[in-house]
Amino acid sequence: MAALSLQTHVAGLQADVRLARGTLQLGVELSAHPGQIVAVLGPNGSGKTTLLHTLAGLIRLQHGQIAVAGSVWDSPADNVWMSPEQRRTGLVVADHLLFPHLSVIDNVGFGPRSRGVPKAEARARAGVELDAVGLGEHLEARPGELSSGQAQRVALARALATAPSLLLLDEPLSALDPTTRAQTRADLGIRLRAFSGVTILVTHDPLDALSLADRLVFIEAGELVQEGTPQEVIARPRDAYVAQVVGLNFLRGQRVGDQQVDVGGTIVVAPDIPAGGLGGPVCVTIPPSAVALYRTRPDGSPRNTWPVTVKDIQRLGPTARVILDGPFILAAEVTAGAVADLRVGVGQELWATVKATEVSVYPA
Amino acid sequence: MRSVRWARAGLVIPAWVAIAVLLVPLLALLLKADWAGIPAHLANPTVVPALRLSLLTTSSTLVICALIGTPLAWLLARSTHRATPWLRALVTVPLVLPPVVGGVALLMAYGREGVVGRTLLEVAGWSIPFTPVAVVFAEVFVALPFYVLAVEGAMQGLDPRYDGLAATLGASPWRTFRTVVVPMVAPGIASGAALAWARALGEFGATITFAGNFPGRTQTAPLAVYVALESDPQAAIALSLVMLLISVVILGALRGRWLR
Repeated sequence: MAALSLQTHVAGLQADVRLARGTLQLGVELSAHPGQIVAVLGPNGSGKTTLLHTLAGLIRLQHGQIAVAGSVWDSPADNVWMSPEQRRTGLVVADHLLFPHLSVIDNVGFGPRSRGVPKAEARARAGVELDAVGLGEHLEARPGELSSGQAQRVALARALATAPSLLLLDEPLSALDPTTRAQTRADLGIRLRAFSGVTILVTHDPLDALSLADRLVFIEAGELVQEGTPQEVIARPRDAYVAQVVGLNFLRGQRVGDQQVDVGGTIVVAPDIPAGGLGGPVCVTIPPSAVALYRTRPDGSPRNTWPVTVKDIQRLGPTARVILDGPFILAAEVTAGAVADLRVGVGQELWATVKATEVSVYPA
Repeated sequence: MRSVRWARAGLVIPAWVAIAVLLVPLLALLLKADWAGIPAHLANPTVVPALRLSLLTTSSTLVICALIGTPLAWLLARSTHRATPWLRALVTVPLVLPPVVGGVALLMAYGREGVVGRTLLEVAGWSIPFTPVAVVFAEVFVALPFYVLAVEGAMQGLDPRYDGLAATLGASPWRTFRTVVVPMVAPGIASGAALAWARALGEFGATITFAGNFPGRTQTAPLAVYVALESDPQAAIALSLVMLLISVVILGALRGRWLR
């Protein structure tokens, strides 16, 4: 076991996480300033939770380094490794994992007690943390008596009670029902704004990421595919998964003219193609709401008109998402009324049009 | 119709035979008891010291099982080492071993000429066999596997993510064991303790082989029953009834776990 400890000038988080685990090859660089909230998104099995557990010290690095708030936590090359209990992290998981045999205040006081704080002081500290998440009235309750949203707030208070440098949230809202979820997301947002350390939020819900995070990091199959502010990512997704998360149709093509992109043999017209060499690879995004559907080929048809077949219809409240198979797969968002008017059914042949001005094109 | 009835009878009759096999001896014990004379029989000079010794040795056994068995159960439950299944199998051996063989093995280990016993005698002047300590040795040897397996089962069922979470909160493995694991598997520990205690209370073969049968010194309740059956059968029955009562009480305590 490594005993050496190492100081650095890193104020927030700087991590280069490299390890192989089962079939997963994880290789992700991640950095954040103090106070920043970074959301890590990716499909199941992409390595999100492994990344989080590596930061917490529950899994060891094979290569790379993790440095947080001035000290190196893990660096195989320097023979440095700090155990989870030596690191200053707080961990919140989807199903809260509160200790069922301890009262709410003792759950939150568990961290300070474990770090040697006297009992009375630990309880005082826990009381402050519980007040901060609006649970000052439930100090002596058992976790079993709380609602799922309250339990998750207690879990957050417990994670923050040790004043961690790094807060790790692993799908903190995914086990909650939709109503509780919205309220808890708002509470979480308020509490996180007041936290001065680095927060890493692992989620697969775009709403969590977009509403809580300053920066989004997308990983797939253990590799970073895109990172940026929510605005940057929404404007220019660089990958089909990222586009799906932000709710856009995503295509790859070659620029073949001033306003023309060749997507697998079909020409897509867009007015604002950034200057660049012809034949260069570009990304194309089309909002589903910009796709219009017709039973017959529309007159004076817009330049982007394609024959399509309905593959699937998903109802989403007052709107419906129609998945279309044509020159490429396209999702259209139409009103439930339009579905009825067009009598849309799976296997039906329709015409889809997209206004050129709605098509966004940028270098891949 | 006829064949269905016969098929049913083919199940019902053996089932009733099985119940009779279990119940008849217990009923006979109750029928043969001289109820009015029980207090007098229990006052028999061998009965009281035997009950006292049984109580003392079985409680010591319970404490030892909890102190050394709980950590073993935890390591078995969490270890991913290749040797762990073998170690678990080793723990089960005394469970299936005839108790007399266990007694012989204990003599070979801690007897005056035993592998460890000889050194103990030479270096410290301690002789374990045929003492109350030997009774506890014998009881721990037979009861510990029951305790460890029951507690390990409960610990296996504990979500391992609690370990990691407690670690991120700054708890050492020892603190996690003490303040998270043990309280959370308390029902498993209680049933393991009840099983181990019942096994220790009934222990006969290993005790008589390794500790002997000296009244007031190593003669536990089961040994006293066996001896009294020759000289004072009603005292044997009275003592048996006390032990039956204790068994029923333990069963009642475990009811929530096994009787549904």
